[in-house]
Amino acid sequence: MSTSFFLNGVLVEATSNKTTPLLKVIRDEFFLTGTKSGCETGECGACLVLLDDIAVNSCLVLLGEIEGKTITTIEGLNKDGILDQVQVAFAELGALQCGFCTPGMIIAAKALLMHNPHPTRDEILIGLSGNLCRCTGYEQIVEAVESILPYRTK
Amino acid sequence: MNIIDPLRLKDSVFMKNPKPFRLDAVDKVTGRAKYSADYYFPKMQYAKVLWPSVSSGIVKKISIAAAQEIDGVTLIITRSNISGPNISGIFQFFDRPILIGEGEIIKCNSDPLAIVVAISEDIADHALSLINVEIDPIDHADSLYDALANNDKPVFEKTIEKGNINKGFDEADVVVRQNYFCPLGEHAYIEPEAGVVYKSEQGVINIIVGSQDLTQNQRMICKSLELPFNMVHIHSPFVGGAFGGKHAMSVQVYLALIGILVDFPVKMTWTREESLAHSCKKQGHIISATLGIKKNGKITAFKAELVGPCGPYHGNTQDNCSGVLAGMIGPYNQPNIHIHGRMFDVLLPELGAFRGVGAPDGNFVIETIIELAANKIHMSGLEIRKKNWFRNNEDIKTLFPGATARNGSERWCMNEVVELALSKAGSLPKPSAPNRFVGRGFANASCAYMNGNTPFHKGSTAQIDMFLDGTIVVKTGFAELGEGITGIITHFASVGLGISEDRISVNLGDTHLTTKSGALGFSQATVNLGNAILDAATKLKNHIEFLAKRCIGAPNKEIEFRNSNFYYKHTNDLACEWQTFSDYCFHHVEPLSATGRFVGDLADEYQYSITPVACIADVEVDPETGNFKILQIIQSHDVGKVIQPESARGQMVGATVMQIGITMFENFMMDNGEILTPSFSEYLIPTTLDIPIINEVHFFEGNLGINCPEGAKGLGEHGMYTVGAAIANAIFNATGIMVTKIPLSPETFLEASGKIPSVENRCYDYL
Repeated sequence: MSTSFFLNGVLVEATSNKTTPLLKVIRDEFFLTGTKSGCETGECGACLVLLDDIAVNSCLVLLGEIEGKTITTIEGLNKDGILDQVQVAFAELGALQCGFCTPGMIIAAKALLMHNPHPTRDEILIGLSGNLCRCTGYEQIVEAVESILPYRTK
Repeated sequence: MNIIDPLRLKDSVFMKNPKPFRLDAVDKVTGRAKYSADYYFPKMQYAKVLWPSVSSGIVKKISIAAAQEIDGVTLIITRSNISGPNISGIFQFFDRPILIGEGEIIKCNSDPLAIVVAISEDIADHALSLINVEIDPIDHADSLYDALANNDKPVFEKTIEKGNINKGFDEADVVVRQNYFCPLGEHAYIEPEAGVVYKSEQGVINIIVGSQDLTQNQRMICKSLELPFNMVHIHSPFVGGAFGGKHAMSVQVYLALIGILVDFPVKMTWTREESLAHSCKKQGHIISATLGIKKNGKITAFKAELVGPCGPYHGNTQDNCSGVLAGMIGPYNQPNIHIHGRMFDVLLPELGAFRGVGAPDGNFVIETIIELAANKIHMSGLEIRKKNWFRNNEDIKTLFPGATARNGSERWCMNEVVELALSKAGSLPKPSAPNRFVGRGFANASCAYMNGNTPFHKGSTAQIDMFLDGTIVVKTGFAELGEGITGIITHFASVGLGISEDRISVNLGDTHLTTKSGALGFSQATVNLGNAILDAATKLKNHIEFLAKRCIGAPNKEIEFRNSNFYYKHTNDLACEWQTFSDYCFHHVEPLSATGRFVGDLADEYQYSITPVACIADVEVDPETGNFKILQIIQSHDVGKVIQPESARGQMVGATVMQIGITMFENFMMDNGEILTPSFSEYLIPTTLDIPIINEVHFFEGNLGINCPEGAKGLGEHGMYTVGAAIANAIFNATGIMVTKIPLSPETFLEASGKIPSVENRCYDYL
């Protein structure tokens, strides 16, 4: 029994067992390795993907739950070679070091801005609080998200 | 055609000041960057390790029959599959078995019993549960408390002595004593240990694994499994953080063992729980310190006694203990010192190097006890520090023999660095409520840790190959851990050859590219690799200039390579166009390649990085609850020339937050070999909600290091040295209560202030 869903804009059929965590399906079946596995228990946020327009830890979502839904991974953010503005901001501000948390962090920032286009600094901190980063101290990450704000239309 | 990745330099309407991104930035923001676990191969299988159920015992029997019968299990590896010495380890310490077999002794929770290879991770996990192991437990000191109570013999002991300590205390007007507790810690890189092994032509065993030290990892595999070095090829892709935790033995040795036995690719990925339980650990310790001081602020004596636990394997035991001991000297020219440390074998995983290798914890001791002394003699802590700083290179050399190679300049810029931090701190903010207090703490350090000039750490080699279109590739064994080494390599290759950065690519992290990578540790990569690249670039430039003279038949002319063409030195006229030169090299089959090397002064036992650092912390305290709010942390450093300001800043503000975690809530706990902090739900590291309101770092390019490329002394660990003590001093300044039992939490604050009873043995039991 396969499961159909939209993955980065394309309708796909996953053949994994329906109780398989989405993280494993994304990585092991579709080889989209930008989604990282850091803990498999929802503690680190490295595996964040967009489920429709909500950021979810893909290690905590089972394949059976996403039938017909839309999943966007980090690979789905840049379109036709053009980086998403959140990706540009992270690259421009050097808001990364080892880069392992970066895809999840960008998805978290993307989801935050989709729901709250003009977050305050505190709202950014809360919005990113489910994502662990051991390298950056979060400083340049928060600055990257803040740098996007002046360019957004009201 | 522009051969550069179109994404790499793509401008965007969102960019305020269009500039090239950090060289690994686009790979990392698009998810294209590959880490060890991101490699997939056809017919790849999965491996899992069987860890022991107890931390100390004799293995009576390992029964694998039931597990072997499961469909999908390909191989179960036990001790009997190993024909070599079965002893691995790092540096000069070869003491760690790969697998423990029947009749052999389990000495810690990280001594594996078997490895299962299966077609899926689930099947491998199931098979692990069916392996029946009989173990006779052995009584062993479980904690430092036990080891001391048993009068165990220390496995390592070291003393740093200078002057006459008794005379020093006799001369003191005031003597201050303080006890310190520091728990074990976890590196907590977000990428858990993972790797893939596959065989290639001629049976070469290829291992893809994130590593800080490829040369060392290759050596640990080859020695323990009796393999020739050329048959073990390690490639380190992007590494998801390391912080000192990815030198030591983890998946790489097990993967090599698997690679000997099977012909298909095999992946081993540790879970977060496995990573926390079985990776090497940051050291912990108990210290009792005594400082003698005169009323005029001159330190007359400093005495400290350290006891610390370590596991049964000692790759990092000595360095960790020595690091804490040396860190306690601080940046001070102390006349009389007696610092003594002992390490005891308890039921722990191996200790590992952790960002600063103990020295930041040592600095915490001296920087807080000075503040206590300042309070006693009614003088500011800063004034005491100024009266006791190293003055010059001679002062430094008396404490750190051999501290000449790296930045033995007479210009000791501590005062400038301190003034820089003070000038940025502003005035102390008001408390947010009447029942709260705000305090400011200060700390400084010399970061005088060894730069690893031992045969196992020192130096580096690099190779530059030039293609016939004039583009170049730089080859090195160093890996990109996020420290920005890709940018450093590109910068120095560009400077050395006079070629623009967009014509340079790098091949990183590979044992088969150069003969020695050197270790990514002790903040030394910029110095070692930067110099090796400059050396290679100089050699290559000389070589192609020599060839160009041959090409135009003018062997006696002076010719210079510049902007991809050759010019006469005296007239600046064009001597030879690139295409002519390139055609000549093509027809004559001339290799355009050079290898560079850098090694510290061989006469020095160690190279020392001596970097002045200062830190100011403003903390708000609620003395009723012990809750803290870190208002600001300002750090300043003299790291010499800053090559990549954005990366340098990122590393230092990142270190600030890491040190906030280590100081204020991280606490790796074990009881009888069982992990009490098995996941990120128990072992807490800082999130965005724990960062200071203001987190700044300022660089003072004062003392450009001698023998350092462009005067860059390198950085990485420096950010760890002063933050903890500055926070403790700020809380002391706000409340009059000095908390030196880490983690410096509301609980330990309330204990120190006498509001709740102190539970002395609780911490000891877990150390």
